[in-house]
Amino acid sequence: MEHINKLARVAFTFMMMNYAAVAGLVALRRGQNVWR
Amino acid sequence: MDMVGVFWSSACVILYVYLGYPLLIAAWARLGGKPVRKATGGAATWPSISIVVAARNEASRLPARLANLLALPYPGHRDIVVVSDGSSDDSVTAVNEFARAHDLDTDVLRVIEVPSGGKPRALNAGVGAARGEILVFADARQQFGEQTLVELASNFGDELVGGVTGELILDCEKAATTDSSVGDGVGLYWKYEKWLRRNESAVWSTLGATGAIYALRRRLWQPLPPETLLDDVLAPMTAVLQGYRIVFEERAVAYDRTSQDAAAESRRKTRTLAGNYQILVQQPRLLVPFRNPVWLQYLSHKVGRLLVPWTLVGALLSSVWLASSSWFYAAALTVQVGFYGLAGLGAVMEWRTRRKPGAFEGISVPLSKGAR
Repeated sequence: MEHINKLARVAFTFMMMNYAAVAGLVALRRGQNVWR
Repeated sequence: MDMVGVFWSSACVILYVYLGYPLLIAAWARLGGKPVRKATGGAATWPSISIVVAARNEASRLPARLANLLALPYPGHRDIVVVSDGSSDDSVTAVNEFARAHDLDTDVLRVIEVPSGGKPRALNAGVGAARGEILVFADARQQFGEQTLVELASNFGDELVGGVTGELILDCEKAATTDSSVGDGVGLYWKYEKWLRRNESAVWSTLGATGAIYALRRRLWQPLPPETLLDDVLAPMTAVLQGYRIVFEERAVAYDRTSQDAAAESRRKTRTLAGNYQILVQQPRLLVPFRNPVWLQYLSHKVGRLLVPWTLVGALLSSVWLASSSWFYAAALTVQVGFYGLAGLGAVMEWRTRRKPGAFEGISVPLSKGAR
């Protein structure tokens, strides 16, 4: 079960990091302050 | 393009970015790596360095940080410039009191106050006040390892080296932290990222630096536009476009804590990737093969990461479309659904962790911008 949990955490982080590229583009286009 | 084309082009991009390119750069580094000719001379040959610390409301951390920076051995001259970026706490007082308590004059430690305007403006002010041949950039939060300044500076013995990035070591790389939902993933990702950087550095140059620990020749510095999101990519890449290399020095280290909170980690990553889009606008030469000496690496590593989320969607939708026509696409769909299921489970674990009363008290520290 611990292995599954670890894989789930890694998969979640992978998805979060990749979809941050989409969020980043949206934020930039909307002129949101994302630097701080 | 039909759905088969969508599937295969998406799969090729994902596999190239996360597997093909890393293998390519590792083989390239092994077969055609360019070693750095480090300085080995006496004290007189060490360049003077200015350590620039941009800080906002860091009064509680600055004394320990300054003590760390002054305790590090360095044979040449060093000075520290702290830029208070519109701090509303006692940051400036903390630095001045530290200087008085340790009998340091302004040749060694100075603090500059600028109105709140963001880190690029603060860095521009700090560099404007710096006198050293080499600029060392540091944040208030981390601590440097003992040999960091020597190891950073020794690389400048090679005239082709324009900058040096050190290694940021996160606590999550050592062991999973209780209640950390993202520590495992971030630790793994950061190790992978540093492995890529090591190889890119061996081939010619990294594609940026770690904001918490990097050094640059002062003459290569160009003032940052105030809206810059990734100063630690723009400044080094400007040097790379001038024909210099940025090398990765793993013996120069800074220690930091991982964000324990997925939301904080997500915000940090969003900022980083927004910055990667922004840099393409700020420096379009990065996309021109004969203007950018690390064009292939930049396209594969940085631009590839911007493409992957779109190709993940493409791979999923095309698999759904094609699954009924072939066992292969059905299997591809199953693998993807399994992966998204795992990610969903990870999201639930994160949500449960966040619901625990006091789960993040005192440990929800924003991760350094370096971990990108």
